[in-house]
Amino acid sequence: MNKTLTLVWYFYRPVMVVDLIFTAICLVSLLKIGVCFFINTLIIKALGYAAMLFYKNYFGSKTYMFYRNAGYSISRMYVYACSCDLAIYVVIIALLFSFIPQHAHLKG
Amino acid sequence: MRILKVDSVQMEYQGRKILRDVHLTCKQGEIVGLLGRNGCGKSSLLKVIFGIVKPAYSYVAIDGHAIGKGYHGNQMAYLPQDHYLPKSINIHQLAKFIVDPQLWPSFEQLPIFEICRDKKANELSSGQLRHFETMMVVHSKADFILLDEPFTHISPLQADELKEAMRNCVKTKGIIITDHQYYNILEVSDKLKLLDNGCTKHITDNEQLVSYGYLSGINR
Repeated sequence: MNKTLTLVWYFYRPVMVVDLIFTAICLVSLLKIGVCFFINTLIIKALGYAAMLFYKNYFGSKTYMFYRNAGYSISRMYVYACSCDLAIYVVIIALLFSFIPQHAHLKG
Repeated sequence: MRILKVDSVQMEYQGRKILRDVHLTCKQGEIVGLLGRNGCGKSSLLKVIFGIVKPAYSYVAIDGHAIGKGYHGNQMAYLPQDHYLPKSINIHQLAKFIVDPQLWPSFEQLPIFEICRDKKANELSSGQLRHFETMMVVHSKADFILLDEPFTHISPLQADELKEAMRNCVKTKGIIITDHQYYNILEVSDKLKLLDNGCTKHITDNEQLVSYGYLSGINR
């Protein structure tokens, strides 16, 4: 388990900045607009994962062989990395829940 | 004794059949050398065996059990032609994920380990990194090792270290190796295959490399 978590961290670290940008957009939107925007943030997160996949395939695909030689498939690494990221995102939302407007708050 | 069997590999690339009649076996304790001209499909064949390239047809099996992805369960390890280690992590930490714990004491004794142990991949020269990456794969947990041009970019002294490490590790592993430095392949291999026109030819006499047109002559 420790080995897997460390490898997932190594895999995720180079794309963390890309992912954090999308997470920040989601959190700011939630804090400004309200809880009704939650489903939309999941779509933004999905776009973030697509950006992460593109970035990693374009700039870091040569390192895939390291993870394969460690016995892990690349799709498995993506699933683990995205799952961990999503879990952390949900925990952050739970922690910030009292600060998130419960009704839509849009300037018109 | 475990046996890797590769049979009937057929693969096309841009409408050209690069592999059409490939048969290969590798037993534990054996080094199989794979020679061939540029673009004849040596690297593609290793990728097919490892399971990262899907051909039109292939049969890859270990002990009679067909396998799709060679890396699942650490059955195979593969040295690609390019550097593969993540750049910003201490390579001593990375090595622990790949090197067999039973082979770790001998891995630690390697001169290249002493040079690299506290460095990151981006702090090493290309040759040092290549040698370290090759040694990691040779000392890996996998039962079968696939080496794509391991002698490229390394010095003659490092090539000698690599050949010695391969001889030590092959007692418990099977190794398939390909490189253009044919003299190193001839020296280290127990069995030799030539990939020519998409077909594997078993080489029993080095003179056959000349008759098949791979070499113009053999230096003795």
